[in-house]
Amino acid sequence: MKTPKAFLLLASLVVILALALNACAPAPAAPTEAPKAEPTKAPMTEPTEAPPAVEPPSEPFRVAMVLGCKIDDGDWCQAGYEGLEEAIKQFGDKIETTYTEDTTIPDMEKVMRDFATEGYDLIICHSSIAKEGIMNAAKDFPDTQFVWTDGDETLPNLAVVRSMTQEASYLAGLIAGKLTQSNVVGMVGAMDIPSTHRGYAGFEMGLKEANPDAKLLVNWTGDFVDLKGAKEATLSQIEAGADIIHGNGGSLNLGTLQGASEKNVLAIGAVRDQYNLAPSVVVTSVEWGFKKGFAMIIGEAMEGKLKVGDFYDLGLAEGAELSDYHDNASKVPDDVKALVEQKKKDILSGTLEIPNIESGS
Amino acid sequence: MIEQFTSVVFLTGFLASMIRMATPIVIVALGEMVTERSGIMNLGIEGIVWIGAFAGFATTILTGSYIWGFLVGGIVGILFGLIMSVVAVEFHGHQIVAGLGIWILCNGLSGLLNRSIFGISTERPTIVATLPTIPIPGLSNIPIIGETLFNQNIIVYLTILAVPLINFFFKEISWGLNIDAVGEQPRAADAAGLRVGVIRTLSACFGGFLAGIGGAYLPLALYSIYTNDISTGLGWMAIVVLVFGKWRPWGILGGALIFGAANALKWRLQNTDLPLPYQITLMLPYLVTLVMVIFFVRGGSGPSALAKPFVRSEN
Repeated sequence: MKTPKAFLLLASLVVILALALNACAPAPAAPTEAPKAEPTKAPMTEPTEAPPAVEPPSEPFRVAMVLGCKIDDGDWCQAGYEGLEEAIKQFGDKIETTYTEDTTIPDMEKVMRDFATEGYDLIICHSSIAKEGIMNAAKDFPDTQFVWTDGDETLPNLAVVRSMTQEASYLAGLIAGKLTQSNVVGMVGAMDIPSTHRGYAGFEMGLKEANPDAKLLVNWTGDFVDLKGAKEATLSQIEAGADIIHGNGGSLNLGTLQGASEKNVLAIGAVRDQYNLAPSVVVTSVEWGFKKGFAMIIGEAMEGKLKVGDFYDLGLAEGAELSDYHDNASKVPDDVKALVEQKKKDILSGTLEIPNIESGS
Repeated sequence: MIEQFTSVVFLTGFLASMIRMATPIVIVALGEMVTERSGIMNLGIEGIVWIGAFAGFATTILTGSYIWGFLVGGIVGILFGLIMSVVAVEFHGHQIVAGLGIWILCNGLSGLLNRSIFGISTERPTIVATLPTIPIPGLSNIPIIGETLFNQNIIVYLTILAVPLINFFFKEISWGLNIDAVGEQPRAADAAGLRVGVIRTLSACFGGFLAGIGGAYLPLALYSIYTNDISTGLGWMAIVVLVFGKWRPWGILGGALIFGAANALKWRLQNTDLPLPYQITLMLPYLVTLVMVIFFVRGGSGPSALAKPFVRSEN
């Protein structure tokens, strides 16, 4: 009987091929976005690449970023990656960077340990749900500095970056309240967790302040990547009369903005400037500040001034902002723009404080 | 409260959403039904949906033609159906392992191809417009039903037509009876002169074809972009609906519509004033499926020879 042998051969072939391809998939091509004129190294694709045998006299500061999604997801991970790019732009060949994307949560600890073993000076874990992994890795490598995005606990060598989105979201709420004709505004969010709830609470506050009659419809999809669900949720809100939709974070915003653009309903993006995802309808976006924030943090770490054991809160003053109106500027009346500018100044000067509300109850 | 659920806008949107959700599930489940009734269990359809979605998307971006998109999606599906049938028919392999292998393979392959063809870019490649709808004159003006049933794209119409056609095929046409024969009693079918291997191979290819089409439907008709997330779970959903529908076309249609309805409702419940935590409404589709399976699916065991390799002689 030759059957079992043939089957074994084929089965193992399929499995090997599958694993090989699966392993290939997340490994990115050399990022094409990195500015060409730069003499610096673009982020390397091979995290396992050995350091050069002969170190140049001034060693570059080595930064590794671990991402749970793809760097072109249009949202969370792209925002993180843009922070890394911003740092490369600012610090040139004084830093050396690498990243892994699409890392599953169980793999994160292993990946961070690898980076730490290879001698990276700063490891950024851009995933709020990787708590166990980051804690274990940071405890075992006390000489390596770690940064954890959207975490809730620090260590002597771990700093946490929190996006204080309520301020920019409040400004977006003002715009939504002033622009709505139907007095119904929709918000599609991923999960009701602190980072999204801050934005939600701020948005609602701004909305009610600008338009006390406005009603806010809220849909949570329970998942950060479910763009199919987000699109369905958006369409259901538009049916229910919403004429402005705020996508509150996660790559599911692709679906939210697409639903809004299909029905030609104005939309407000989140996390990063999402104008290019639906240029016809996105009036502005609530930027969570990772682009400037990460560049700032990497800069501080280079000088040995990283505030380990502490929280970096990215509010309006630290890099979060309301995006440019781009070509939809004409859709926002001048008095609304002036109001937003005024409130922004008030927040920055400290005369207006937006409360940080992290959960509903 | 009640008027929120009975307005024309609500009902129209609800039914439209239900059909949007159900269509790709029905397409993929019908294909898998043909495959399974011939005796091959292809769990790889989850992966074939992924690769079909990508192939259809890439082709439509590159050629600008929906027809080519669906065709290439389907052909890629046939290819993987063929791989499955080679393992199952030629090598008498373990079908569940092979199916999962195809799933992981396609999973990685579609992401890899996406990166290598379109690269990393802030300008995400997008299909200019989704598949156009074709209103049926007269019927499309009926309130509520007209908009949802008779103002749809060509694939929805074809899917609705396919259900009775495939039902007829299995009941009345000798080819359909042959497929059932090799899926129920391959040895008897073989003795009666049917070529078990050929029939199973063709059935698996047909199943792959529909899985590819169902995958291509997602970017071409619904989302106009490709990410690895748009196709997640469609294949598994199709398998659930297949079992739920007891391997019968009408059952599949019913199961997919119930799931689609529960899905459409879960978003709309969040928009009403009902004091429900969102986690409860998100659970709804799965709760409904579970309840239906517990109370209404009895004695639903698939084809007798499902996932059992047919070896002609034991020497």
